[in-house]
Amino acid sequence: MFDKSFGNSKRSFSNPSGGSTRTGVPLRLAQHRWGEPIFFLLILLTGFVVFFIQLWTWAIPQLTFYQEFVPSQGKIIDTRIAETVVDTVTVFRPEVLLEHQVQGISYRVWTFDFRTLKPKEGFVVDRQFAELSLLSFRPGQSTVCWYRNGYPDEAVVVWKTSVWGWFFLLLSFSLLVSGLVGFVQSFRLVAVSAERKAAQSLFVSPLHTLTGDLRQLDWSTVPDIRIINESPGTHLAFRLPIGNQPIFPLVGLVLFTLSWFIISFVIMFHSFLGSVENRSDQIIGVIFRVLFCGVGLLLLVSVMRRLFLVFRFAPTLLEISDHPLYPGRKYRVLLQQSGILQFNYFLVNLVCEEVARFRQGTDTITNRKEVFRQTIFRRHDFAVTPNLPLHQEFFFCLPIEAMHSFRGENNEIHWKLELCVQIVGKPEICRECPIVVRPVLLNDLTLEGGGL
Amino acid sequence: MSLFGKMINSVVGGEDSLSPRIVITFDGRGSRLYHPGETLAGSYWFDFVGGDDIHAVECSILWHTEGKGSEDMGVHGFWRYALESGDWIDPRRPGRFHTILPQSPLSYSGILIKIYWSVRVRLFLSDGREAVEDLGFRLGNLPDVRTLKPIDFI
Repeated sequence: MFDKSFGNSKRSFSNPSGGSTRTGVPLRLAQHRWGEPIFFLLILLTGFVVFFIQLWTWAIPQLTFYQEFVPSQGKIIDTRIAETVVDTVTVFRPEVLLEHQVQGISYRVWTFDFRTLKPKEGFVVDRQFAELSLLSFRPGQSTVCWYRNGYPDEAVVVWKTSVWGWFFLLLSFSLLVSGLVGFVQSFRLVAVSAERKAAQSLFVSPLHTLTGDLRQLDWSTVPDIRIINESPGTHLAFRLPIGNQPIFPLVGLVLFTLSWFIISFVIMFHSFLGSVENRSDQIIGVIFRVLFCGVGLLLLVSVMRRLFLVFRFAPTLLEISDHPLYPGRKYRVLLQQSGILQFNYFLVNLVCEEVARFRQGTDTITNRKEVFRQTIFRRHDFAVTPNLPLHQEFFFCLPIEAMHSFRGENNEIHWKLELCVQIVGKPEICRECPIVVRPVLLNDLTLEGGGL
Repeated sequence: MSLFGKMINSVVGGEDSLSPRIVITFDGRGSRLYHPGETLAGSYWFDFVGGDDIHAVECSILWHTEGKGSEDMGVHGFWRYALESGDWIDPRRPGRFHTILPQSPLSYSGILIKIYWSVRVRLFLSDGREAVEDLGFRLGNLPDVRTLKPIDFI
């Protein structure tokens, strides 16, 4: 019984002196986590192979080729669109007749860019595109050209390098670098225990100095209080943010509904303009159009209702005397509700909820379980008017044995104040104000007034 | 156990009378209940293992979760002694651990989540095998969440 409550009962048993003894601990091969290094090794090898193939087959020949070309001055004699047939498709290539001189000898060559140096390259299906490329070249016009040193017959008038080529080279290089860095880092941690890894994540110093106390991180598992504490109240110390009103989903829903509504009614009116002779087709068409428009109307009504609930019920103010909260302390809360509303009831509940996440295949499943609920404010059958808003102060006490708020990567314990109201003729609406509970401090056990 | 089973057991180091024994004890108290801010100190040592057989020893004071969700773990104190760092490890001479316990997370027994604290000693042997021993303790004295009762102020 004792061991079960302490966990780890599989490995140790209790004895009166509070120690553990065993007649032999099961030995096993040290856990080596090879998955990550292998993954990064694959990335590294892929990056290495792709990078060097690109380097040797494209980048180096390209650079060498460019270095062999010499700038010169030439003259455009003529332009044309060259045609050829590839697999029964006619393709086109822009060409200019360039005249340039090298060492007093004049050369004439049909050319354009580097691709035209090869007889079958540089062709495109779109003739118009090829014609557009020639627009900047007029017969008789002087132009800069580049010819290959020692081969004046090989000249170009457009100097363009392939941006995509350099992009893919950079991509494969970054693959190589990230693979190398990841491999080195993960290889260092191959035989590292889970505890050492966890300790390393808290320390910035190298692994071999990982020794000692990590005491400074006392509140690392308790959620941040700044979101609430940066919002001072007007009457009490802090104003609590009232959650559960995400505005972006609502805006998205409104836009979607409006789009649906407009499209469906445009289709409906458009269909009245056309004539369908077949009567059965006409009936089927009408049925589908009505269904389409009906869905649009339902969506519109639903959105209007939501908007009404959100904006009609919005001006609620909840303030608290202190934050974060500590078990065993008493807190004062101010609740203000304005507007013109007739309530069936208005409840404020103190709720604690456990949230556990686990992965199932590629999905992350989240389970929630409410473990504590206490109604700390309750009022029935009342109206709120601009002259008579709800302005109510009340107290609540956090149980001294309450667990503090907790946030791990996969497990959380949330505390919140939950506002549940029912306006006459409307369904119940609940909104949440998250609060943070910290563990009670041993030397600070004041049951009354601590939070006031 | 079949012959094959025995062979496998000897390869992976199955439990037998000559397996190393890791003993962990807490200093001077019969209870394993501690409060935040209190000092936790104790010792650990090894039996049935020679000094030459030990490659490294790790001692951690940690919490971990159990329950419906995937496990979370946090290390509060961590000490590693290894031959490559020039540490001298004598299996018969008790190793010491000592820390001031943190404010959170407290030991917790919830419905979906349970939080356990323990001292864990991991022994790395020169032949590539390892042995682990945990000794649990409670941080804080929270009861099971099912027993939590509201305090009525209305």
